[in-house]
Amino acid sequence: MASIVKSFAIWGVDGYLVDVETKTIEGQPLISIVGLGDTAVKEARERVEAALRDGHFRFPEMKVVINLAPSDLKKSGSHFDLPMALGLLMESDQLHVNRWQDFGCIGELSLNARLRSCTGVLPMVIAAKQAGMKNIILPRENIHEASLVQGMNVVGFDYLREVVQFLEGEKEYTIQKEMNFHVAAEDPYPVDFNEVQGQEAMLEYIVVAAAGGHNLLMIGAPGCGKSMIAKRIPTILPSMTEEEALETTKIYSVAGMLKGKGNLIKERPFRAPHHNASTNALIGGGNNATPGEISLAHNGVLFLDEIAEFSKKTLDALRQPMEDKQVTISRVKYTNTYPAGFMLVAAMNPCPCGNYGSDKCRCSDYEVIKYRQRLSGPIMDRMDIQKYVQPVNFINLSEYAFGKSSKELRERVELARGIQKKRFEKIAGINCNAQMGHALIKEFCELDAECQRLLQVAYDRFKYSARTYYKYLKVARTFADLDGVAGIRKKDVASALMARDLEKEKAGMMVI
Amino acid sequence: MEYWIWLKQISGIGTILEKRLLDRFQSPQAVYEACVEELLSVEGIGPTLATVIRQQRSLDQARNLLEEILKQDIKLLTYHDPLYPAMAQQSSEAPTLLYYKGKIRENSTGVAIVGSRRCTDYGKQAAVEAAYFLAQHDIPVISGLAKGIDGYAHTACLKAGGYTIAFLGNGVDICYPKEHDGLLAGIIENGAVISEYPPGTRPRPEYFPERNGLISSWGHKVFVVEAAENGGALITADFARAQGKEVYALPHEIHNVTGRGANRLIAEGAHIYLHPSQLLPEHDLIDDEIDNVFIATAEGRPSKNGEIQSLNRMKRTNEKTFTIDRILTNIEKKILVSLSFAPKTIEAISEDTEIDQIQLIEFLSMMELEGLIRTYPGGRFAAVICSQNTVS
Repeated sequence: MASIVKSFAIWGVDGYLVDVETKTIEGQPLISIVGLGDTAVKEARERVEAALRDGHFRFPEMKVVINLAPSDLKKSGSHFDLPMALGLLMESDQLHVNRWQDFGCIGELSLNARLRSCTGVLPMVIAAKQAGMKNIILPRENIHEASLVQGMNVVGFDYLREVVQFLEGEKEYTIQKEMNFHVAAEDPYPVDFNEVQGQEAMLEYIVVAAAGGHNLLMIGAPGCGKSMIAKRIPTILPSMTEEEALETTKIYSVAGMLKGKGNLIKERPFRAPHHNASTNALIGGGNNATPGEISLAHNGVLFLDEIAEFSKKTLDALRQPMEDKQVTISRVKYTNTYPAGFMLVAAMNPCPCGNYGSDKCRCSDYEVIKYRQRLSGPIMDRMDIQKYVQPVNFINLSEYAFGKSSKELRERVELARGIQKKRFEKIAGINCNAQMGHALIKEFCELDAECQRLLQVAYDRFKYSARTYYKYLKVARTFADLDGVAGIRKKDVASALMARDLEKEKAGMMVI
Repeated sequence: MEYWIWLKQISGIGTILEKRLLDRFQSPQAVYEACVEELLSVEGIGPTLATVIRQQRSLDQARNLLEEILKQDIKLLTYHDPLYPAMAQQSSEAPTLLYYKGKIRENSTGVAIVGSRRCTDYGKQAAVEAAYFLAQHDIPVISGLAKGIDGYAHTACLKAGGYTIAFLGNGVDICYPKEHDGLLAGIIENGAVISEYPPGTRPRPEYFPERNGLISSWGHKVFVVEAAENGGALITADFARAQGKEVYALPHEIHNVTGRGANRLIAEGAHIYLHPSQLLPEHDLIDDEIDNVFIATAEGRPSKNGEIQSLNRMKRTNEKTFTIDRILTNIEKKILVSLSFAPKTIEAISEDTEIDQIQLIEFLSMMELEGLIRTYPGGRFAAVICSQNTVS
């Protein structure tokens, strides 16, 4: 009878159970690995053979067949080394499992029979828990990550021999000292909004963007502090729930970006890809259909600096994931769906020379319009808030009062988010004001006659298009939520009308 | 028509000789059919040129071009066409054949507005104001479709529902600069784009001076808004003077590099531009109009103690008239005072008035909706009373 060791494979960001079946049969000595493994899986035969010999085990002089079941799903990764080695030892009577009847294991083997850490541990352990498994064996370096899943017996080792001794019951497992990792720092962010000085009006709109989940476009001359502000936006977003943190950590685990950290990702991710980034780098792709920047920014902020310099094609590829909050990547071998719920923060220059509005600028209106059209209409449309960032007079910086701290701002954001959570409790897929469709806006953003008149005046004056009408309503709703009031006031509408500088400017442009 | 194209394309013969030939033979077809002896009777045509003309006696090229032109909806304006303005014909450089798109109306001559490509906001406002004014008086605005002043002049004229003509230094089927493609379409619809170069000709630096000559020949008056030293607008002014046209130049600060050319024109005897009405035919500037330009600013200027007396009930004379029938609050007055000199950002207003920035958001928004202040490029605001050049 073939020996079976449980292991796992990754599908998208989720793991699933894999039975590693090992059988020795009479014949020419060779190892054959079946079950749609990629090259990393196939190469395991060399590592396993070397590791067994180095660990003073006997390598069976028979034909060995290893099957990864379910055999019709593609598998990749080097973490099948350990289960294969254990299966082979069991099959050749060199290992008798006395301790656990049921356990899962993952780990890559070095030629010296050492266990190496591998990627995707968190989703695999979650899969183990969901399959009702209790015990997991893995490389010592992955213990941190695996123990994020509560209620599992996780043991980690450095050498194959230790694993064997443990399973045979010869040695007890000693809990490591550094196992105490659930204590996180109080404030995980190294930056704070109080370092941004003299731009309170701008900050008000940042708070609104954060509170309502509105996408934000900052426009300003080079060096006016756009990036500085963007980096601080995660600090005022409400802290991540356990569920959100696990989601984000899973993505990083799959992407192989948790190495060395191992902890649960508690701070909201901030991703700032360079404008030279390819579409695949942003959306996800590559041979193995790995997650891109938009998935790595899940539950956090995707910051596109110099957004006008991104290729149009790349930007337009963002449109669909922004709507769906997830992205499906299809490649020859794999089709994966990754979550991609991020807040888009972008920055750009106002015109080709960057000094629009100052005496230095000599760009014609036509050039300015042309430059701004690098952002396609649909992308511009998704930017609920478009504000100018004004350069601060840094010589007088000491004269400015310290700005409001991130903590203070975050409290306001959390209050507004709380109201929205209640509002959208019964509506699936909607968490914040920015996600409201037309029907919901009509329901939740009722205006009195006075406010209605204000909007009408604004529309006549600035010649806004009808579709932007709803944007102002959504932003006005968030302004009201920030103050915790039920109805939208005149003040909220007035403030919302100032949220889209670029659009307002368009009416004054001398162009046809 | 093909004879006109043929005549224009003979190498070795320029505009002046073409016209002498036309004078002698009455039509291009007659030139085509003339023998060497007849050709020699025209002043300036020697035996060599006469042979050259005879040697090029083939209409194939002209016919091909004509076919192409008709396909692209391009029209021809010949020297003998009644639509060819007599004033333009007087210029010795006036080409015998022009290609155009759009519609050339009767009385298509107007006022030329020219200036630099990289213009200042001041120049832009002046050009827009002048073009707007001309459009309202149904005077065609003539310019060159270049970036900057040219583009603004055309655009403002079209926005005001006026008629405008653009002269190009390239074929009329090519849009240069590229970002003016929308403008080009607008001009074709409500005016004309004209070029002496056949379709498909790419813009070249040496083509533009000739185009400048055309611009000035089509204008009764030439308004140079802004020109650096050696700027292209100065070439237009030179042509204008040679053609005996009145040249108006917008005065600039003397230290301003971009205005030096215009200032030099004034020093050399060009009219100083103070009000768009100067561009009307047979018009002498009256004192009232000169005052009018300044009224707008004078009225809103705060007096020494920082209060605006006349603000509570304001009336303006021209199209920017508005009235406010309520008493302004102290905060609103403070903001208006702060904004009455130059556009300011919200940060600067806050620093000036010591009003909290967040509080200012609402005030500014409301005041803008009421028409007391308006947005300026770059997220700035200014009191409407201080802007004299608003085109609503």
